Amino acid sequence: MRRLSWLLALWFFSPIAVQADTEPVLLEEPIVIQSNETFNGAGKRFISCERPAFQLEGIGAVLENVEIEQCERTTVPAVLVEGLGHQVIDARIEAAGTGIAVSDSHGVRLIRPNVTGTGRGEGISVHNSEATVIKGAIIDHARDGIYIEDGSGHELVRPLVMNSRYGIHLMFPTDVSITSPILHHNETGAMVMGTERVSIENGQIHDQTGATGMGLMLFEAVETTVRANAIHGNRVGIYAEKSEWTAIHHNGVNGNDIALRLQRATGMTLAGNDLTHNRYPVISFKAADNVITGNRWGGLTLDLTEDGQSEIPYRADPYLFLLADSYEAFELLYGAPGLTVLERALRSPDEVTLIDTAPLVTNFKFTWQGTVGATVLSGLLMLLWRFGRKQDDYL
Amino acid sequence: MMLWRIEWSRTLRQKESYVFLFTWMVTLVLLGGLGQALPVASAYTNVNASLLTIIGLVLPLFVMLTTALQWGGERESKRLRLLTTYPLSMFRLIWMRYSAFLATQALIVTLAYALASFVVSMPLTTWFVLWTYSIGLIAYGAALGTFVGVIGRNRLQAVLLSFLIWIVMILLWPTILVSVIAWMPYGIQAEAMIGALFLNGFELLRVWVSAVLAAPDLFGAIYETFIDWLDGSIGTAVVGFTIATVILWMLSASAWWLRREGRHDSA
Repeated sequence: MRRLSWLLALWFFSPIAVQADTEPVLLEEPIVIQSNETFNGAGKRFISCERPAFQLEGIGAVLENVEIEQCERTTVPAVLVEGLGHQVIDARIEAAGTGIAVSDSHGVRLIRPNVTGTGRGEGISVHNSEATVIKGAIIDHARDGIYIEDGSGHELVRPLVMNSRYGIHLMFPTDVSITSPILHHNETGAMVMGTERVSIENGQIHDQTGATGMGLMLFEAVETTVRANAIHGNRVGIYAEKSEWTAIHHNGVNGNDIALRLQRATGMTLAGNDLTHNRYPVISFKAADNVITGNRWGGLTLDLTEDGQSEIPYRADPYLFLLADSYEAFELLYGAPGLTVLERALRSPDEVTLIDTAPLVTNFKFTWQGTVGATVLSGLLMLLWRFGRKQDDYL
Repeated sequence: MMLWRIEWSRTLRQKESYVFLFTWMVTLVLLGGLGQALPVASAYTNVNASLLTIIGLVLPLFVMLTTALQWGGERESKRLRLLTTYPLSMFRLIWMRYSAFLATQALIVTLAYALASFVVSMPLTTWFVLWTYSIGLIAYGAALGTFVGVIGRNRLQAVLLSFLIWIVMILLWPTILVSVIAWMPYGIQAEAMIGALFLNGFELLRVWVSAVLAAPDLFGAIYETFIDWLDGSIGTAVVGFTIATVILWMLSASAWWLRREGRHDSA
């Protein structure tokens, strides 16, 4: 009987205990994780309002497997990281302010952070830090998905940012490597300003929206490498202004309104890019001393030597850009047959014209696409033509 | 109807019809083949844009020259004077010849599109919109060519006049707009550009077909609302009504001109 009473008591109390585990925990003070401590949230949900939910300090602190929800109008970050070698693993954050803020740190690793914001704060912000590693970040509805200011040696692997102002925003850091980014439906995929030695590789940067709608924007960026990215469906694929020694090679920049827009960009290397299927492949203005060769533009090509490169150079005349830039209303003339002729007639001088001396040849490719409908239609039309001819003239 | 069928058979027998068919097939196949070689196929690409540009450049010239030459030839061989003595209304005569020419050209273009579709892969909607654009250009160009051919005194004058109209309405049109609208206040430039579209049917058709094929921001944010409207059923109806009105007006003017000549001759 006593055993039965114990069992009944156990049965009665156990659900309450489970219920307590899944209820969110309201934090009035941040949980501070000190050097070499590990906090495993086991999927527990924490709510914070006026203070950060978690704060990592010292050296080698680990925060893992937590869910954080911020109250509306919260301006502080959900997770604040300061120090050396900290790790945040599998943090899922519904942020009103910034999701994760890293400042004055070295070697911080953010693994699979997932931040859903309200568009007011950054998904992840990194200030004045060195060698931050961000792997597999998923960020939705932030102001800037990943914002990095100053510092160097950061590594971003497979970040996915969508529905934000800038997918990735770099302000003055050096030696940043961004590998396999997926940036879509932001106002600008990646904004790179005042940087040195940034590389963006193997990314998919597509369908940016809004008036700017730029895939990549480089402004006063030095030695940027943009390689093997698929950049499509943006208003401008890659925009480079006042940037030097940029290498843009082996990218597929297709289906944008304008593939490349270069303004006062010097010392660039543009090679092996596929720039076909855009409304305009390139608009270049005051861009000089650039090495441009072996790109596929989709223009007129002629390969006499059969080396795959055209003997007819590709010229990108800035006439249309200059016209529409001065008078927005003339954008309605884009594609007008007369303007195409006018563009040929009023050629700009070579110093303001981008010229690819050996563009890649675009080959014709025919594959049989016949359908029963097209065959029947063609046959009927030919019969109509045949029998329509059989009449006498009347005059 | 009998006269129409005779006219239809006459236009089908002309050698120009075969040249037209060959030209359109080569254009569509070459540009389409170029597009097929490339990996990405978006709704509005530079291949489609090139097709639109080439069709918009060449088709009006061919159609206007052919119709103007036909009517100029009629006048030179005095058959036009003979026709004016027939107990037939001038508008009916003009309409019969115009519609027979239009039907022939529609047959040629449709056949060219159907044959090109064997080797060129494009969505059915894109084919249909390009075909509609071509038919619109033919209808508009043939009406202009008819008017020019009727008022021209001989074949040379008719050809020169239609060539002049093509230069102004196609080649010089952007230059004219840039020269005139650049002087207008900035706030009304976009409205003036939209208004100018309705003065030139070729341009109206080009912008309409671009609106149907591309995203609303094709011509920039300033025209987004207008392009969105143009792509809708009301916009399409307004474009159709405008083109049809101009065509009917041209044909009526041609008929009036012939009637006037008939009166002069009888006097």
